[in-house]
Amino acid sequence: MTLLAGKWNVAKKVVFVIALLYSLLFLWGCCPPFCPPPPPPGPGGDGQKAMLSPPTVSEPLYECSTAVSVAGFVPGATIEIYSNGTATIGGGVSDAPWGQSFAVNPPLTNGQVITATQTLGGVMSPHSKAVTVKSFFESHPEGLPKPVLDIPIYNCGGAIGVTNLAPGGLLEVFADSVVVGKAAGCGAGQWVFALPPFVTGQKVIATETLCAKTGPKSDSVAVIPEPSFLPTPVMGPVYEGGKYCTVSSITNGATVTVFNGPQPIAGHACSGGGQVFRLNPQPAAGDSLNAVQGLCSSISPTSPPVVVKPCSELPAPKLSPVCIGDNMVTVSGTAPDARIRVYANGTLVGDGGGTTINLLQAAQAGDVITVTQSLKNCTSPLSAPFAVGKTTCSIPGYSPGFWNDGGTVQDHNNCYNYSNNKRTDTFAQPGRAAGLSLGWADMRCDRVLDAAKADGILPLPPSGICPCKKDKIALVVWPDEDYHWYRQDSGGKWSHKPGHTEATNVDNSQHAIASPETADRGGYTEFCGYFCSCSDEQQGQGHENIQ
Amino acid sequence: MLRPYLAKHVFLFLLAGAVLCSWTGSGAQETSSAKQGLKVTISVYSGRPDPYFYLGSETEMEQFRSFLKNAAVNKAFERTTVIPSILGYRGIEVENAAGIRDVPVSVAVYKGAIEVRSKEKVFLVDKDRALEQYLLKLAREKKIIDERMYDRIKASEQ
Repeated sequence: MTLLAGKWNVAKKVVFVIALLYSLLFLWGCCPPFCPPPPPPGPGGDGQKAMLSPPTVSEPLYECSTAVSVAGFVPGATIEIYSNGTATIGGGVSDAPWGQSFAVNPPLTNGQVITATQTLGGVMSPHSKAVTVKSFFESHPEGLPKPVLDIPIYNCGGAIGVTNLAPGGLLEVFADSVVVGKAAGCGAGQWVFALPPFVTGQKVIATETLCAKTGPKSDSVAVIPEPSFLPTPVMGPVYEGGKYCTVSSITNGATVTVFNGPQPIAGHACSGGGQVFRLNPQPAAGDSLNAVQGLCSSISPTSPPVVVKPCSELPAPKLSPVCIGDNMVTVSGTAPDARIRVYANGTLVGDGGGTTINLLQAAQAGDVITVTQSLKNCTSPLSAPFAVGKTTCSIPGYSPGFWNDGGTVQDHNNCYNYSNNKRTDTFAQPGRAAGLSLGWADMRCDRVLDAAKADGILPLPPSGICPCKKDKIALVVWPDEDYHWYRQDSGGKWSHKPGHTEATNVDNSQHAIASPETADRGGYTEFCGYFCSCSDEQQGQGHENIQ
Repeated sequence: MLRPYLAKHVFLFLLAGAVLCSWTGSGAQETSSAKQGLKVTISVYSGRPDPYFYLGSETEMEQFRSFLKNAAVNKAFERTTVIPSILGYRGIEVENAAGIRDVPVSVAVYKGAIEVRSKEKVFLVDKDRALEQYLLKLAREKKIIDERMYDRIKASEQ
């Protein structure tokens, strides 16, 4: 009996262990210690589900086009282009996320709906925003535009750029009536190699053909002798893991060569301006790269060396403002072939490349957005965070009736109220909401704008465009006496409200205000600058915190 | 025995005093508004509040009434208000918030025209800009505007 009881105890223990193992298998899908290691954690925590951003299909797309350009994908992803959601008509692998043209077959037809996906590591993105194919000739009854050749065109030039094209057509470049370059499915601006290279005295023209219709010829351009001096090319930074470099200050048609030490690793003829070069073999950290350009026997000075920087120096991207409802983010300061990951509150919401990355969910009020860039196994630090605003802004029209009631609204709301389109009935003062008080000595640009900044009103960014549909407003000062604000209405003109008088869209000379800088402003002689205010279409309902 | 009696009467005394004070306080406020007289605002600023003063003395009030009494009707005035929507000096406004007798609800004057608002709006002629000059001089005398502002306003009239 004792023996049986002992065996039963052992049996119970065995059953218990087996049950434990099965429950672990059920929970984890594996039995420790034989489980695979967990995926490396992202900022949002462990094991985030892999997701890819939908890429971007370039617009417009025209009937008869033989190519579609796609951007915003992770370098190395497989791109597929679809017609009406299901039929694959083109695609391929690319590590040029700034924009890759893919041939499509058959050519596009009017009314087709085109989308694209990217696939990497077994993960496929959602379909891109759909682009409907249109007939170029229905919307442009005047026909194809006249191509414009980039000039000057030099002897020995091996490439040429052409602009003013209808996207998707066949571009042909002729030198003395002989085709020297062509591109099917061209972009609105397109460059082509010239083979053979141009020769002094040749007459060069370009034509475009779409749907078997050939548009007007470009103006004829004569090839001129190459310059005796070529400018030094300028190379952009290169980081460990990067496959590309940028070179600018290229003379039209010159052949650029990129060297790693004495070894050429990239190079070809280029149209003027800047170009991205694929480096082969890929350089390593510490390698010294430089570039030269040449036309015939004219060779430029060698560019200053660019040392390939290690992974630890890969900088965080710069993030442009993100607005409520935005479905994409724009970054700068990134390597051309970097993988860009976008996070909202630490959760991955975008994974692509290039400078514009589509989001898997629209930005919401209060989201904190960060981004990283990666080259191979190297990932930068997170960017400075951008907090998405909490309010949707809109721009008011000029509707003075609300402000000019001859009573409370008119008497108790001044230029600051009006420019911010916010009725407070307090004759609002800059900085008052933040606890500041402007005195006589503060009637100068720097003091008043500091007070406005304390209220949260920010200066116009260098782009000259207020982000997130904020309204542009302007500050002027009557030195040592007073300040005044203007606002730009939805029609593009400016209006203002001088103190407790009526709101108006004319200046002291009764002229419409095209710009506060040039308006008759009486004693308000100092122009302090432009700012951005979160306003509203409804009069008096602006969202800035002024008091 | 004495303490509760005293406490009760002290309490009643204080209560009566508080009631009397509240009556006289509100009365004092009403009297203060009337005593302040007519509010005269020099309309010159856009962002900052405009400078203002009160016509307090009876002499000043009578002079003001006299200007209005002797002003002719301005039949040629076509705008809706004499105060234009411009930056800088644009006239003077007088408000009768206290409801002083024989004075309109509000008066505005600028560049030879007077706007009188009572039950209706009437426009009068400010001959030689006399009323406007009178009020500007008072503002200067009472140091509501400094010499620099006074000179600027006079220069803008040219």
